[in-house]
Formats: sequence, C-alpha cells, structure tokens
Amino acid sequence: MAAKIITVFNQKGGCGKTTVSMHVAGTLGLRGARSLLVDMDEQGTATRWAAQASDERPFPASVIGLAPSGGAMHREVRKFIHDYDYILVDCPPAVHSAAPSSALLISDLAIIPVVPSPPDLWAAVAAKTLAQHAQVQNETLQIRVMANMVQRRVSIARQAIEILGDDGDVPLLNAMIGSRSAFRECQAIGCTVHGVPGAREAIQEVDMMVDEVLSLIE
Amino acid sequence: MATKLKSLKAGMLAGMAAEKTRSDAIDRFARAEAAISQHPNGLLQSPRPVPPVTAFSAESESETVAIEGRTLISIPIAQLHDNPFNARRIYDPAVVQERAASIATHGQKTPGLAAPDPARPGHYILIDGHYRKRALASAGKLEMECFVESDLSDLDFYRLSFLLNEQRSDQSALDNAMAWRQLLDEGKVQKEEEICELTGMSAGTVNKTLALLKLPESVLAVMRERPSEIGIATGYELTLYYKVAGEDRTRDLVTRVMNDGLSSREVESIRKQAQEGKPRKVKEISRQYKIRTESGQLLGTIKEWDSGRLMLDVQLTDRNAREDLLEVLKARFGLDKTLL
Repeated sequence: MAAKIITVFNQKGGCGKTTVSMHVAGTLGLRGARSLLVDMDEQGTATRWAAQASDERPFPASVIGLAPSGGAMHREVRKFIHDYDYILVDCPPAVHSAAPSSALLISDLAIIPVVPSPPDLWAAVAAKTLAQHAQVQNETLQIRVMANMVQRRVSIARQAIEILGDDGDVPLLNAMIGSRSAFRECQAIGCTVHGVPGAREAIQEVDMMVDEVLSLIE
Repeated sequence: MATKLKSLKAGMLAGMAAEKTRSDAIDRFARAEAAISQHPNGLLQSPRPVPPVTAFSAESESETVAIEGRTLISIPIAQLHDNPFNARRIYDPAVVQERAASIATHGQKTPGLAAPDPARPGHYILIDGHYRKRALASAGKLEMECFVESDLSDLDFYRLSFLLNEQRSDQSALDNAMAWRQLLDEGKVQKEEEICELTGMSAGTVNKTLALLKLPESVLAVMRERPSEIGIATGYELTLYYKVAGEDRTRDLVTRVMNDGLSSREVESIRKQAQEGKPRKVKEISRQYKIRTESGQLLGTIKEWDSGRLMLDVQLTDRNAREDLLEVLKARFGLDKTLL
C-alpha cells in the first residue's frame, strides 16, 4: 500500500505549518505508523526540531530535508512511498516556489493552517486558489483549512473562524490548535506535545486533529 | 450464499478501487512532472514569461483611466473584497435597495476607492464604497468602478475609510466603536490615545465611543437598525443608564430614542432620574432676614425662597414672648380655631 501524502502549506509565513506537519507526522509515528516528514523549507525548522531529540527518545517520525530539490521534490518523494504509511510535506512560506505545487499534485490531503486574523485570512485566499489549481489535475486531492494558534477568548479570532467556516469551497477542519506554550516547548526538546509534561489540552487538540485527518484520508 | 456473493462482490470492488488508486498514485507523479515542467515557478505563476506589469493592461479586460495620478478601473465585484478595517460596520438594507434602484437607472456615478490586495494578485480590497458595492451587486452589476491606491498598511486601510466616511459624516458612533475595538484587539493600535491621533477625536469621545460596546447585545441590536440615530452623547447616556436600569429598560429607552427622537438632553434627564429615583431638586437660593433684639443681639432668621417656601427660625427665651408670637402665627393660619 502506497503512503498517503499530506501537504501542509500556506505561502504566509508564521502560520504554524511546521508545528502542524510535525505534530501530524509525530503523532502518527507515536501511534505505530511508519511516518515521514519532508522538510521543504530552506530554514530547516522541522529538521532542526527533530534533531533536538535525545538518542534515547528520537522524534517519532523520520524527518528529511529536501528543500533544495524545490519543484522536483515529487521525484524524491516517490522513492519513499512504499517505505512509509504516511508522508507529510512541510512547505516553505513562498509564493514563487514550485515546491507547494509539486507537493499538492501528489497529495491526498492539503492542510492550510490559518491564524484567525485579517492578514492571514487574506493570504489564505491565495493558498486556497493554489490548492484548487492543483485539484484540477489531482482530482482526489482534498483541501482543508485549519485554524491554528487560536486564542479562543478573543472576539476577532472567533469572527475569523466563523468566516473560515463559511467558505463553501474549502471546508474548515473541526479540530483547531490553540496558542499554547507547549507547542513551543516541545520544539526545544525534539518531541511532539505528547512529550511535554502537563500539556494535557495541547495533546487533546493534536489527537483530535490527527483523528480528523485520518478520517479524511483513510 | 447471497451474503457470500455480496462479500465477494465487495471484495472485487475493493480490489478494483485499490488498483485504481494504485495506478492513480503512479499517474500523479507523472502528472506532477508534466505540470511542474510547464510551471517552473508553481501553478499560480504564468507558464510563459509575462511582460512587465503595466498595471491593468488590455489583458485584464479593464478600462484604465488615469486621473490625478490615481488609476480608475473597473474591478469585477467578485475580486473586490470588503475592507476588513472598514470604518462602517452596519449596512441598512433599505439604503442598499435605494441605491441599487438609483444605480439601475443612472449607473454608478461616483467611483469607489480600492487598493490591490497584497496577498492576492488581481484582487482588490475596497476602501471606500461598501454601500455602492452592495448596491451594485444588488442591481445585478458585475463590476465596480474604483480609483486605485497602492502601498497601504492595515492602518491606512482604516484611516482612509474613516476619513472618507467622516467627510460625509456618514459613520455612526457604533460603527466607530466596532472599528476601534478591532484595531485595539488586533494590536494595530496599542492604546486609545493612538485612536485619538488617528481620527483627531478627543480622548473623552474615544473612551465614550468604545464604552458603547459594553451595552448588552439586545440593546446594540436595536441600535444597529438605525445607528445614525444614536449620537455619542446619547450613546454615552445609554451606557450610564444601563448600569442603573439594566438590560430590559435600556432596550426600551433606546427604542424610544429611535422612535420618538429623544434628544441627548432628554435621555440625560431620564438617566439622572433613574440614578436618583426622582428628578434632582434645583438648588434655590433663599433671601435671609436676620431677627435681632433692639440691642442688636441675634435671635434668629427668616428665610424666603422663590419657590414660595418660608422658614422662620427664632430663639425666644422669654416664654411669654414666645407664646405671643405663636398666637399670632396660629391666628394667621387659622390654627387657633381648630384647637378649640
């Protein structure tokens, strides 16, 4: 069975692509699946994150950096599809890069993380357009927007999430990720929030997100 | 037997589906290869090198007219997005219909103002003309004529929208409150003082305006029907009234303001009445007459007010003198008879 491929992208920087992709990949790994994360960002945040892990407790997914391959990344990814159950692609925040296009054309699911704030809402429109362009050629591609770094008590955030939820073309995932320090702490120790003591709410959010992702692609 | 056949069939179908997705997965990579070779910079980029962007060439099917350094173009309404920092927040459907009727007869008279959307090439954010946009859409028009500004920050989007609405004295206090709250919540401005600078309004006005949002939702809902009826003075009185009178009575009062056109002074006196239980007495000044003995010793005072009140306060240590005075006073008011 070939690996399911999930691309996490948005040309807007700082919307939490790496946090989301690393948590999907890592959580699937923790659940016993063979999981690979392809880091397409030249900043190599995901690769650095995984490298923070100790030898005794490695990051629960394989993480490789393929940023230099850019739009040719699909050729490399193809070599792994029988070795893994899930392949996550963490895309760079760039409009002019071909990497997201290439990744979307070979993916089963595209996740667009969006911080519920106006500039992110605007940027999300271009991200949705790109995914829809890819969908023309890759008809089985599913596209979902996900609210990330949500401050649930802030009214503008609630309103932005309502707007995201009202989009008839690109559905919003029910699961959302809050703005929590556990999501930053886990990067320093090279794990998912599952490895952060006391991060009960963050873990719950991640598990719900992964459950929902699996329900879409299985 | 039937169930077995069914499960066999399901098995075959599943196998076919698996086969399909397998070949599909292989196809995908070939397809990606083909697509990427045509679009070396990603799917959203044009496959061919584009001539330098002479904004809105014939290619974009838009008429271009340059006036005073600004460009006037027709923008498809589908690509023209509301200003998220628009100063106006509330749109009266009746006004939209009215303007739609006018547009249907006379066409769009006044261009709107828009800026290119930094995140979406080919899309625009409307700065001014949100009513016109709604009216055009309602009149079935697909395009809106707009002047185009460029290089705007988030605050510029609000500032321009505020200025243009303000020039037409077109936005209500409630519009302002909602827009300013958003600027503060999003950290576009840090303090209320910055809103004063942005809008040129006094700190008191800014503070009173923002206080409107402390009114309960049901009251705000009534205000939203015709927000221009509620000025900032009336609005502020309503927030004070709400503190003493509660939600239901405030909703009644705001309804009266809308229907009967109560002035802010009238609302103020209603609010004061509610705060004190009764109208505050006008402080009156009395005229005072000092009562002295022949030797000049002060015995007391007579005070007289314009309202008709009279007060006698006198100390007569001599019992006879006291009873004499009492007799006179009793006789004056007919009290001597009732005692009998």
